[in-house]
Parts: sequence; structure tokens; C-alpha cells
Amino acid sequence: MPPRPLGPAPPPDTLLPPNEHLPSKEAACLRGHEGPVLAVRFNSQGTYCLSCGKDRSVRLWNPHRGILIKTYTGHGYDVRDAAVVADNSKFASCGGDRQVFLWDVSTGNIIRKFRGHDAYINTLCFSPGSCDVLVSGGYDQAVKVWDCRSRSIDAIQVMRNARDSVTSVAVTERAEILAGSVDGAIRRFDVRMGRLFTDELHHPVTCVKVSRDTNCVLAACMDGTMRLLDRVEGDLLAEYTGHTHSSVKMDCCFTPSDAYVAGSSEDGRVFYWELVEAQQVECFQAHAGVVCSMAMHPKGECLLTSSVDGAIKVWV
Amino acid sequence: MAESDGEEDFHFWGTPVEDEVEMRAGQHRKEVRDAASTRALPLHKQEVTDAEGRRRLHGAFTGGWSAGYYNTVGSKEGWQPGEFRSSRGARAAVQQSVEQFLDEDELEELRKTNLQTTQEYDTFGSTAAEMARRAAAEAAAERPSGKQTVKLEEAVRMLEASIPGLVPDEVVAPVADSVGIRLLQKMGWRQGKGIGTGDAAQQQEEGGGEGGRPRRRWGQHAAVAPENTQLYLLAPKTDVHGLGFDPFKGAEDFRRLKEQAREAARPKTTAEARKRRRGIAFGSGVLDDEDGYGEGATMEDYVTHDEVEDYDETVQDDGLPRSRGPRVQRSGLGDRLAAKGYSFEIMDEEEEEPQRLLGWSGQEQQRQYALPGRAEPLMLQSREQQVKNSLIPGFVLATRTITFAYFPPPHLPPGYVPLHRTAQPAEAAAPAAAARFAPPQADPPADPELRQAIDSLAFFVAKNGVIFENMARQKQQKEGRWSFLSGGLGADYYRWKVHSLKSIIQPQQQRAPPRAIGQRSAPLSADERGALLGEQQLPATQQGWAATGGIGKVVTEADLARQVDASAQPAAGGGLSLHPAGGTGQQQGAAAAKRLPVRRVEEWRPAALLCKRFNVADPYQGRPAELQMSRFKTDHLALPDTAAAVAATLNAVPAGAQDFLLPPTVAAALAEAEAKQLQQQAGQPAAAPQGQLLSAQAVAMTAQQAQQAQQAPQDAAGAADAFLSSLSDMLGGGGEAAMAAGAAPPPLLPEQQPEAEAAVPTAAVEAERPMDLFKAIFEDSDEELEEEQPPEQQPQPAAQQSEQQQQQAAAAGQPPLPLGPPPPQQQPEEAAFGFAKLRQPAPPPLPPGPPPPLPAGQAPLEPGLGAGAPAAASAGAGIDDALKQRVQDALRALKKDKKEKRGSNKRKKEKKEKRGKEKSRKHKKDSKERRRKEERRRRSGGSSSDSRSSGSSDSD
Repeated sequence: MPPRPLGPAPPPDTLLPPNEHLPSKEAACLRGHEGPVLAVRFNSQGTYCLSCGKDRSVRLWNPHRGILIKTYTGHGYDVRDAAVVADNSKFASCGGDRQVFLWDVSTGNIIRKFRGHDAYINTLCFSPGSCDVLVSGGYDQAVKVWDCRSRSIDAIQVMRNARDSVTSVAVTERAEILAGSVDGAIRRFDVRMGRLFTDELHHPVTCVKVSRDTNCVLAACMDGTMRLLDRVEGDLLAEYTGHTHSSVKMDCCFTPSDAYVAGSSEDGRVFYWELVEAQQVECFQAHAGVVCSMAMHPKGECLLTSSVDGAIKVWV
Repeated sequence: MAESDGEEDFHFWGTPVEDEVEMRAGQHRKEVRDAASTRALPLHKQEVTDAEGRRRLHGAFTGGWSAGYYNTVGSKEGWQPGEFRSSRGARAAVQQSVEQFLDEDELEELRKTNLQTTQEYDTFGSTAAEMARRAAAEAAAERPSGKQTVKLEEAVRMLEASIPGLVPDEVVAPVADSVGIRLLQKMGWRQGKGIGTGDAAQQQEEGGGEGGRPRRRWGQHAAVAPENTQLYLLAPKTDVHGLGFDPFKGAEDFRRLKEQAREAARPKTTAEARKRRRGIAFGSGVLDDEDGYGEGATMEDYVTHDEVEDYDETVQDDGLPRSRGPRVQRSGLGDRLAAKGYSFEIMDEEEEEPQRLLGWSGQEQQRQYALPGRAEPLMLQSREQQVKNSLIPGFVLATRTITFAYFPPPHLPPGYVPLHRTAQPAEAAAPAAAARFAPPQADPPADPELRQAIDSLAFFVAKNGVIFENMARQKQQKEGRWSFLSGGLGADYYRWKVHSLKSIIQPQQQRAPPRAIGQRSAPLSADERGALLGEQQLPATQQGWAATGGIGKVVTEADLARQVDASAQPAAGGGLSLHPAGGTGQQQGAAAAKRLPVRRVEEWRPAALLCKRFNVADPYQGRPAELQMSRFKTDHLALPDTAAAVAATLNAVPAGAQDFLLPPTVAAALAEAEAKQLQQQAGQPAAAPQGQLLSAQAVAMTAQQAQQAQQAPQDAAGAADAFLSSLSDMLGGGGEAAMAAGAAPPPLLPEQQPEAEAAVPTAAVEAERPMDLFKAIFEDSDEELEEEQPPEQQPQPAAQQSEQQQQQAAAAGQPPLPLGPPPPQQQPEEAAFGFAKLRQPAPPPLPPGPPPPLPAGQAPLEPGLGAGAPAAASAGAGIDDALKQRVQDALRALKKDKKEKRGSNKRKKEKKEKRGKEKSRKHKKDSKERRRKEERRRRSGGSSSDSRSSGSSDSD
């Protein structure tokens, strides 16, 4: 396997001009889940999306055409997160059954189960590129790294540094694992340096996202503020406020150009902020209830939001 | 595409996904190999495959992939068929058996022996009964068939049908005494008796009233077994009547008839027969005549009387006598068993007691089944015949009726409202009452101590209750100081103080609901615990975690539960609610000011595989983990190695010490010792410290002083030991050498020699005294000297040289002085003790120096001092022998003392010492020999002198 470039070198066509279009018009509403949709995720190309419901099912949609393609049943508890492998052949999901399920997309069979978490798993993430490594974080305050290449059943490594539930993990191309936790810290495990950088934000973090250029880390904190941190130095670059976020795990995301930041509110609104100025540029009512999860199309074509009423909305 | 209507609706795009499973299965198949090619392979490489080319699995437990001998039925020697032998000629010899036709499993089953109790230990005779049954069956089979047999069998069958709980096996079962019974019999037990002596129980009954010593009924030694306890067994109900049903109710004639029939059927009621044998017989007495209809009232009672008669007759026809003994049918099992000799508990009992009656079983005889050692069971006994009169058998009509007095309910007052109003809690009412009974304020006692005691106790009592006052009172009763508890001095003040404190404290306590000791309403959080313990949060923690509402703390079970509960609530409509315990929103306001993120960096070791997967070099490859700083400060605030540090500082000393300086402590100690010595002696002023040449007064000291030296060492030893121990700790080898150098008198430089020679005797004494002290302290220095000595070859020429020098000196006309100064040749030797040694890269060999010229007849000097001896001897040449001897003895004693001390302190050093001593001894030996040789040579050469000869003897 040739070594991958570690530095962020996004292909030029993915970078959109800063005056990009911010999706705010409802194009479709995907209905099918009963109960809250806890996560909605695009595949890496942005052609399909997966949604995880509290109804113990994972559903595969074509958000552009607004149709349900497949329903994956097999979880015994609520499904909290899902991630698709780069080649779309497999996806992983996790949730209340304390295992990470690896599914075959086409057949709907469970290929593997990664057991080892002691409590429900909040989040998981594949390593970018070859998707050899799966990182999961759960209520057991542990971040576990799983090996998808070998058949070993044990985690490659377990990081138990967090002092509370791990709500969000992210893996960058710089061989870093980021984990946001309810203990109010973002931990960056730098594999290359062999160091752990802990950024104390003092407020529970529910979502951690890394910008395209991997220089910034966006964290949705439960004090109703989203914070933008410098990845290297840990400086606070910006704070985005205006929404309410106090008790529910909600997502945040960058727009593909890294020019804007999107976040959601517990009252069902979706916000856009200008990244640098931290000014709210757009805000619209997306759902009646809490916006549980949101996902930005990798090319910025559309935005997915999911809510507690079981609806997934596609915004263009 | 559109062949049919149904398929028109479907459009297929792309390639269908192949079934992976099938392909996988196919992958494992091997092609069927050509038999020829397989055969060419060695045996162990040949593989057996089935028609589809799959390897043949013989079963996990029967060989796996390879069964038999490389998948063959052969063996290493090849396969051999069994040999065939014709039995045609010897048919009779062939004996077939079942075993030959059974396979292994069947054989195993056949041969399997059941575990059975041997007869010896077969207490209850089940095995014996079984065996007997078999034997009986066999015997019956062998007997020629006849009417009698048939009748017997019929009888047995009938018995089987009619006897409840009695199987025919037992009727015919022969039994033998078991080991237990035989043992008991050996020990004096008789059948029908209980176990143990009956006295104990009797005495308890009889002697209880008397209160005195229990009386033994049969004397001191005689022991009589108790009567066997009786076992009560309920008679099974075998009929189908309801409870209490009397079939002869209202038809008393029939009852009488029945009775009469029974009477008729009863065996001859002779007196002998009345003496019934009764014993264990489960379900026995079916045919007992006493049987009422309760048990025996089967259909025969009403229907088949004739048959019963027949039956009886049949039995009689069988030749079985109707009387006792083997009349199996007519007696209980116990009798039968007894008849067979199997009688482990048979009670011979006169039937004098009245028949016991169980109401519901009519006249049925109460059966007493006795087992040794069993307590008597509860018995339902009713001796009266009134049973028959009762409506329900077993119940007796009451003879007395009780009438209860009736009290009418109280009359309610007209205006009563049935509403209960709770009274004020006692505590709430208490303060008022307490205030009413408040003791008057009293002045504190004058004694401040007493006041303090009262105050503290009052606080304690007010806080914890009066119990503590009582406790204190009990405890401190004897002490007069606590008299205020019992109305003594300060009692008023105490009462007032308790009261006032109570009024302050108790309202606070009442706020919390009273709880039992050790019971808490909820598990304490870390904060509460800290508050209880009086801990204060670290400022950093306060800043960092207050805002998170305590989320960052280690999540306790309770916290988890709380959080789970919170998230279970549909807080925000059912999403993933992450409700931080403590409410973030409120504390946010408190946290207020914007707080910047804080970064911490720590080491983190990625797993090797993780690095590999991320395609990154392992940052910690092969490097051990960094030392974690211990949590405990004492671990990394260890005291510096004091000894090492001191040694390091002293290492600098030898350079300075070359100027004949001593470490101040040593010098002072030395000076002190010397001063004492001197003062004791002559009241002379203390000698100059620092080991320099002493003044003229000191020099003037003569033999008298040396005489005193024998007491002096004790003082000196005290002082010396004082710093010796410290020194030995502080100084390493080099330090010691430095000390040696410091303590030694300065070497006489060649220029000074004339002067030294001028002050011959004094110098000699001078040289001796410090030497002694020094030697007393550092007797090991000789070992070091020797260690530094060059190899053995060198001494020889040097010795010769010195000898030559001496000879030259002698030739030059310098007469060997009796109290003379050490000859110049000896200088190096002495100097070798001191710092000169350090200066001389290769010090001259120690022993080669010839013994100093001594006056003839001088006593030999201490041999134990080793190599230093000649020097000392030479120095002390002027002192008379007895004195010298005493001095040396004292020194030796001192040395020994010190050696012991050191031995305990410095084992390592001791080792070294030993080694050095061995060396020196060896060396001495060598030198002695050498000297003797020289002596001989000299004597033979005729150049020997008296002094020399004495010197040679000296060294012995």
C-alpha cells in the first residue's frame, strides 16, 4: 500500500468559492423511521445517506430522489451512529447494544460485530482513505480503535482518558483521533507524535468536526455555543451562539468550503454562521422538534437534518 | 424484455451481486487427483478425498483428517486378516457364549455390575430382600407345577393386591443381621431395647423434683437400656369412603355381624396368643383381626365374604398352620421377619394395655413401630369410647361451653366529627417547654480549666444528647473535676450552658430529618464528601469544573443512574438527551465570564498496530515508557545521599591535607584527646592541634607520660570512637587514607633530619604517641599500605639496599643508639604511613627495613600491629619494657573494642579488612622468612650483631 499523503490536499474541484450556496430550501422529507432519528450520515460521495433510528433500524436512502432503498434491521437497541466505508460496500453502525455492527450494504447481512464497549456507543467513525480503522466512543468513557483489516476481535487500542461519556469521535488524515466528551474536553490523540492534546472547553461537547483543511476543530458545546479551535495550538478562534443547546446531543458541520459553519438548535432551527466573523448568516426552521443530527453533503449540494419526529429532511 | 405482463414492471440495472457463500464453499474443493499421482506420494502425504474432492473428515474424535494408519485399516506392519480355523473336527470343543455375539457396547452393558450393598452392611435388607426374591422365584420355577403352587401363587397375588404398602417380596424375604445390629448386640444391646442407658432419661424425670443428685435406679454401675421408643405410623387410608364415613351407620346389626365374623376368623385367642409380637411392619396387619373397616374395609367386607373364607381356607389348604409362627398371612411383617430370624427390632409386649383407638380408624390397633434412638412421635390417642358418639370421628364434643360477656360500643358525643388532627410534633413544642424550664443563667466558675471542661462537655452534650452526659458521668465519676455533673462546683453553669447551646444547635439539626445512625438519604457526592471532610477545592478545579456542573468528575454509579434517568425522560422530545447533572444553565451564569479553552499535553502511546494502520512510524518504538512522576511528593523529594555528598566534598580534602591539615572534627577530637591526656598528666597546656610537631614541653615528655598512656587510651578511645564512627561513615577509602595522613606525624624531610636527630628521644616519643593513637584508630591502614605495595620481587632489592645502607652507616661509625633516633633508613617506612605515601608513587616495601637497633634484651614489641610494628617499636625504643607492654595491651584492648564496633557497622569493610589482614599475615610470614634467611646469611657471614639477633627474635 503506498503511503497516503498526510497533509490536507483537498482536490481543487471540491473547494467551492466562499460565496457558496447555503442549503435552506426543503427538497424532500424522508419518512419511515418511527421515533427519533438519532443520526443521519452521507456516504463519502454524497450519493446516499444512512439514517439511524431509535426504532432499532438503519435505513439507506437516496436523499436526492427522496426514496428509501433498504432497511437494515438487526440492532437490538436504538442505533446512535453509522458510518459508511469509502467504497460503499460496508457500513458500520452502533448504538445501545454496546457493539459495533459492520454491515454488508447490498445483502444487509451483519459481517462483523465489534464487542468490547461496556455501555452504549455514541459515535463511530472510519479512518479516512482506506477505512482500515474504526474508532468508536461510548458512554463507558472509552474510545476504542478497531481493526477492520484483520479478524482480531480485540480493539487495537482503548483510550480511557475521558472522564465522561464520549459523544463524538473524528479521525483526520493526519493520523489523529479526536474525541469530544461530556467532560468538556476535546482530546486529540496524535498517533504520529504519540501525544495526547486535551483541550478543555469547560462545557460538554456533543459533536466534534474537523475542517477540510484540518486546521480547525469545531465543537458543539452544551452551553449553547459552538466553538472553533485551532487544531495545532488549541486557541479559541470563534464562538458561534444564538441557538439553544443544553441537553441533547446535536451535530454541527462545516460547509465544504470551510467558509461557514452549520449548527442546529433544540427548537428545530438550523443556523449558519460565517466561520471567521462568527456572524449568523442564515437561520431557518427545519423541524418542529429537536434537530438530532445533521449532515452536510460533501460537495455542499444539500443538507440533511433529522428530528425526533422521525422525519429526515433534505435541504437544498 | 417484456415477455410477460408481470415482468414488464421490473427493470434490472447493473450486475447482480453474486452469492459469496457459494463461491467460498467452492474454493475449498480440491480437484480429484489422479490415483496414480496420489500413489506416487509418500504415505503421509496422501490425502483421502471423496468423490467431490473434499478431504474426508473422519470425525473430530475418531481421527480427524487422518484416521487409522494413514487413512488405512492397516498398521505399520501391514494389514493381516484374522486366521481362520475350522471347527469341523472338534465341534464339542467349541463353546459358544452370548459374549461372542455381542459388540463392545453390549458387552460393556452386560458386564456392568450394579453397585450393591453387601449383605454385611445391608441394614434394611433391601439387597437381601432382592436376592431372596430372586431365589424364591427360581425355586418356584424349579418346583413341579401343581395345584398347591398355583394356590400359593394365587395367594401371593391376592396378598399383593390387598396388602397396602406390603410387597410380596417382603413376605418371603429372608434377612440377616447387618453389621450395625451385630455391633450393637456386641455392645450389649438387646433387641427391643433402646440405645444407651435408660437411666439418663429416667433420672431426668425422677430426679427433677428432688433437685439433688440424680438417683440411679439400678445402682452405680448397672445400666439398663431404655425401653425402645415407639414409632408412630399413620395407618394409610385404603378405602374410598369419605372422612368419617361409617358404612355401618344405621345398620348396627351389620356391624355386629361383621364383628362376629371377625371374631370367628380370629386365631385361637389363647393367652399365649394374646401375647402378641409386635414390631416393625409397614402396612402390616392387613389380615389382623383387629382391623376395622377403616383399613381393611375393602370390597371383601361387603361383597366377597365368601371369598375371604375361601382364601383363608385356601391358605389353610396349603398346609400353613393357622397358628402363629410361619403363618405368614395372619401376622404382620414384623412377625414374619421375626419368624425368619430377621428381627432387628422386635418388641415382645404384653397386650395388657388397652387397645388404642384411633377415631377414624375405628378399633384399629395403634401400631407402634420402634426404631432405636428415635423419639416418640406424636400420637393421636383417644381412650374413651365416646369417639363413637362424636359426629366427626376424631373430634370430641365439648363438655364446657364458654359464654363471652358482651359490651356495647361506646356512645359518641353528639357533636363529634371523625376527623383526626395531628398534634404538634414533640420537637416543635419542645423549645417552648424548654424555654419555660430554662435554668437560670449562672456565672462560670473561676477556674478556667474547669470552665473549659464544662464548656466542651456542654457543647458535646448539647449536640449529641444526654446519653453522653451519662457516659461522661460514668466514666469520670472518680475524678473530682467532673463533680459539676453531679451537682458539684459549676453545676449551675453547666446546666445553663447545655441549655443555651442546645437552643442554638438543635434548630440547625432539626432542619435535617432525623436519620438512624449510619444511614444516609443518598450516597454522598464527591463534593459533599469533601465538604464533610473539610476539604477545599483546588482553585483550578473550581474554575475548570464548576461550569460543567460536576460532569467532569469521575462518574459515580449514582451519577450514571441520574444521567440515565435524565436521558430517559423525553426532555427535548426524545432525542439523545445528554442531561448534565446539576443543570448546566444555572451554573453557566455563575461561571459567567468567558473562559478560554485550556490545553494540556501529555504523552500517549499509540499501539504499534495503530501506527501501522495509520501508516505512521511508531513514535515510541523501542523506547521505554517515561517515568511517571509519583503522586507522592516523598517519592521524588528523596533526601540526597548524604554520605555520597559528604564523600564528594571530602574528596577535595586530600589535596589540602597534603599540607598536613586534618578535617576540623578530626583535628579537634585529636586535640581534645591529647589535651586531656596532657592535663591529666602534668597539667601541661594542651598540645597544638592539627598534628603539627608539638612544642618543646610536649617534647620533654618522657617515659612517665608514656606510662600514663595506658590509662590515657581510654579517654582517647572515647574521643576517638566518637569521631571514628562518624568518620568511618563519612570517609571512603581515600578519606581514610587522608585521615591516616593527617594523623600521622609529618614525615621528616631530609633537611630536617639533623634537627630530628638532635631531639632524638623526644622525637621518638613524639613519633610514638600519635602513632599509637592513630594505630588504635586506623589499624587498617596497614592493610592499605600493603595493598599498595608493589609485587613481591621489588622488596628484595630494596631490602638489600636498606640493609646495605645500614651496614654502611654502621661502617661509618655511627653506633646504634640505645634510645637513638630512628635511623634515616627508616624514614621512608614511617613516611609511608602518612601523606608521604600519597606522594610516593611506589612506596618502599614495608617489611624490608631491618629491625631498628634495640638494646639487647628488650622485650618483643606487639606482634599484632603488623607492618607498623617496627616503626612503633623503633619509636618506643626508649621506653622501658613493662611500660611498653602495658601501653600495647591497652591499645590492643582498644583495638578489639573498635573492631567489634566496626564489625557491626561496616560489614563490607570488615571483609576488606579480613582480606587485608590475611594478606598482611602472609606478607609478614614472607618477610619473617626473608629476615630469617638474612639472619642466617649474616650469621654465616659473621657480620651479625646482637641487636640484629634480638631484632629477629623481636619480630616473632
